[in-house]
Amino acid sequence: MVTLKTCLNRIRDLFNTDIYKCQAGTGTTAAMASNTGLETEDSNTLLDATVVVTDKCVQVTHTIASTIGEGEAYSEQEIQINSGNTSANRIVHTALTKGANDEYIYITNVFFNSV
Amino acid sequence: MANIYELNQSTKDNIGTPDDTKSIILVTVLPEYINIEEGPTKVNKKTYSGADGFILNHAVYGVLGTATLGEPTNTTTLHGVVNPKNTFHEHYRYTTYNDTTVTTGSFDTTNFCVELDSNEIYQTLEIYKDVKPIFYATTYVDLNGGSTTFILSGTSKSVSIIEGKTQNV
Repeated sequence: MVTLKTCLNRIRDLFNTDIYKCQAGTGTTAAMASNTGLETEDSNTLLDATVVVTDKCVQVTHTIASTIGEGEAYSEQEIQINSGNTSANRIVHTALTKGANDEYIYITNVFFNSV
Repeated sequence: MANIYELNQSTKDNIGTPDDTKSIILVTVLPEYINIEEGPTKVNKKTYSGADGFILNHAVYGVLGTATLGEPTNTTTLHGVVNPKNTFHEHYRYTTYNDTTVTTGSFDTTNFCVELDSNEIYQTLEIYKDVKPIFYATTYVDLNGGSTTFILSGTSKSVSIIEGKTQNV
């Protein structure tokens, strides 16, 4: 038996259509699988994502425009699914304080494999 | 027909209850897992500068009658690359981490590989930055003759791969 690529792409599509938005925050504790969302989210950054779908994967781009969040020290980010009721992931990086002319761009790849 | 899995069976001697375990056909379960893998996240900062361009609602670039249409002059810098479980796995699905200024091989997003002819180079962009250092790299190579060399930029680490040999660095 082998899991077919069509099945993996079906799961990819289900995930893709379930993507709601992305959001950034200022929490700094390390990301753990037990997290249920961001530590300190900034609702101004809850924005639509740009999603590029290819074979067995999706690429999610979250852009925080220069007009949003000036002075905030962003250090965490997530992809939300299920109409915003579920966080799919959480990443943490060293804080990056946003200037008036800065735009932040998060690009995340998600892969669907059989092993 | 011999049962290829009989080594895994426990058998009894033939004193007393006859041994019937030989007649049992054991079906080996070959599990296949569906894996959803969170890949790396690249964090870029784009900084606008200069006096040109227009950004709606921006205090400087959004002034009508002053700002010109178009995207203002800008510079994009990489702040970090966050790898879940500190592991970067290049699937060759996107060219996000391919350094096109150096790579001369064919980055193939259809067959998910880089094809390298003799003396061709594949170089990634930064795949680790900001949070965690890189500890080791694993490469998978289908080598058709000859050898190839992998070099970790910024270090003295390199390894030459020769067909039929396993080498670590």
